[in-house]
Amino acid sequence: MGPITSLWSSSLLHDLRHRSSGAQVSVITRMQETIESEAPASPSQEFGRPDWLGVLAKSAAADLNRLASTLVRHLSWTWLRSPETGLVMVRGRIGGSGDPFNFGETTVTRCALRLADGAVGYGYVQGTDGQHARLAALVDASLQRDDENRVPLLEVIERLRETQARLRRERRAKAASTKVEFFTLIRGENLE
Amino acid sequence: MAYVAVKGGEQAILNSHKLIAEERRGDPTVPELSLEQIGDQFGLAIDRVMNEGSIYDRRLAALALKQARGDSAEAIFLLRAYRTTLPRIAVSEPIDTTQMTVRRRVSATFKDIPGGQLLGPTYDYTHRLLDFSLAEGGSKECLETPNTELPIDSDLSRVLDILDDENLVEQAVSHHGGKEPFDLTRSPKRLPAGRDQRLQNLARADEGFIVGLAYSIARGYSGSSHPYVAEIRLGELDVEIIPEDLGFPIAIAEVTVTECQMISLFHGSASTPAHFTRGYGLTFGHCERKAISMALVDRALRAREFDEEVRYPAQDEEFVLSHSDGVEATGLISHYKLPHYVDFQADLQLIRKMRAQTAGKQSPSDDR
Repeated sequence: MGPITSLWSSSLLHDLRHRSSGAQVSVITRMQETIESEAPASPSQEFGRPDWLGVLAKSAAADLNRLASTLVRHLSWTWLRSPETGLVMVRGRIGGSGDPFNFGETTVTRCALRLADGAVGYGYVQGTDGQHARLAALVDASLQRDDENRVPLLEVIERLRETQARLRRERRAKAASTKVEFFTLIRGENLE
Repeated sequence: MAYVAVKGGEQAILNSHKLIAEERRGDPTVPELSLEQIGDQFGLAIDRVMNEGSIYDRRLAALALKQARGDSAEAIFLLRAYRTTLPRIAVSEPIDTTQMTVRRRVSATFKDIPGGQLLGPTYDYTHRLLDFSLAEGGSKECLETPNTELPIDSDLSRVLDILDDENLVEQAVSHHGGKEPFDLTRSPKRLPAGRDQRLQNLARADEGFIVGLAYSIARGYSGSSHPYVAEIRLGELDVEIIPEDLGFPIAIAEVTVTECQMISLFHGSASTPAHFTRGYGLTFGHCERKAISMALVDRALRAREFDEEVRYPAQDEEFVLSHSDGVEATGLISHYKLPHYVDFQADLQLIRKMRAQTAGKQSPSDDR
């Protein structure tokens, strides 16, 4: 795991605890996905519902389960829509930047549920795992409430995001080690 | 189709299923493959199955390969069949390949490209010698790729977008505005086809067929000249959707894709000066052979657009689109194995009748 705790200065946590809930809460830092920025960046960027839904969607089911299941276990809730696996048609663009075309599909599982106090959570995850979607929906619903669960759940989101960012950083760093300079050889160049 | 169903053989068929399960498992003293092992260690086989099965799901592709005993055509068929059981949840925003976390990016046309050439994981510069150390329980030491001090740019622009100051290369621009692209999963093939339909067909097409067509193009069975790889890039991308119940975009998935931009010399026509025209290839996973071939066939199929004479199979969209799908091709080819007893009897009778007629005509002039 990356330096998660360092992202959470005590004043920031304090600030968070006293913030009102809502879809767009300005929270914590967004890690720059560059190799050099291991240190936390400035805590100025928005960290809203689209962000956490995206992080949850791309999380590994096992990671989310390990980090979040105990935090939402006590909740009572009812299904609005039980988990359903379906397809998302992924579109590309002709030539990379022209008109769109239908490229191929990917599996997605979605569900929706309502907590006892009325908060509605949506679970959208990549793949076919209904439990993964249920957990994502519970986290989404909880994050919209302003209670003691919110801060630890935001921490979970940050840790998942850091895991995803770290993977990308590592891929980039390894790719960088294969950077080449090709030289064009000119005949007769070495005759002197 | 002249095919008549047969009855019977239930027990034999059941036993055949048991036998195939037994053969799939192989020697029970050898550990069984897990989906994780297949996914991790046969990654390129997974990529092919995902492309032609037209579903990006590594786990399902691994399952299909396991069930099919490694036969990619059978695995692709399994994925396509599973696909038909699933509802369409959404259509993504078009992916932006400039936003890719690039792991490999090379250009065969421009030596010095901003951001550099990244070889990434490629067999291109290996010696293609069998590595017998792999036969003895794996590589001796797990080779760690060194992390480099030099970071690569997080924004690697497309080579063709930045290195065409003179406007010598065709631009990839939007022509049809907000028009919905053709969807082969919803409508049958329609001719003449737009480039959107052709690219969808090629992305799902059998790799062998497309590589064969591309080879025919390279050997001269097409109008165009020597093509060049302007850029190949491999990496990971987010897929964004706007769920109808949420109304704002979320990144729903991460996919690995290979993109290939080919350019080839076009001598110009009455209305267009000479320039480089483009062909485009895009695949799920790491499938460069397919991406390059797709780009070549894409360009060849644009013959009419450039007033080129359609003379060869690779330029003929009816020929290409009708025969490129591996599942359709396999289906028709395989059906010959199934009982055709009634058809065969009919043909047998026909041949006997034809012979009898020929014999009847010949007999009067026969002196014996």
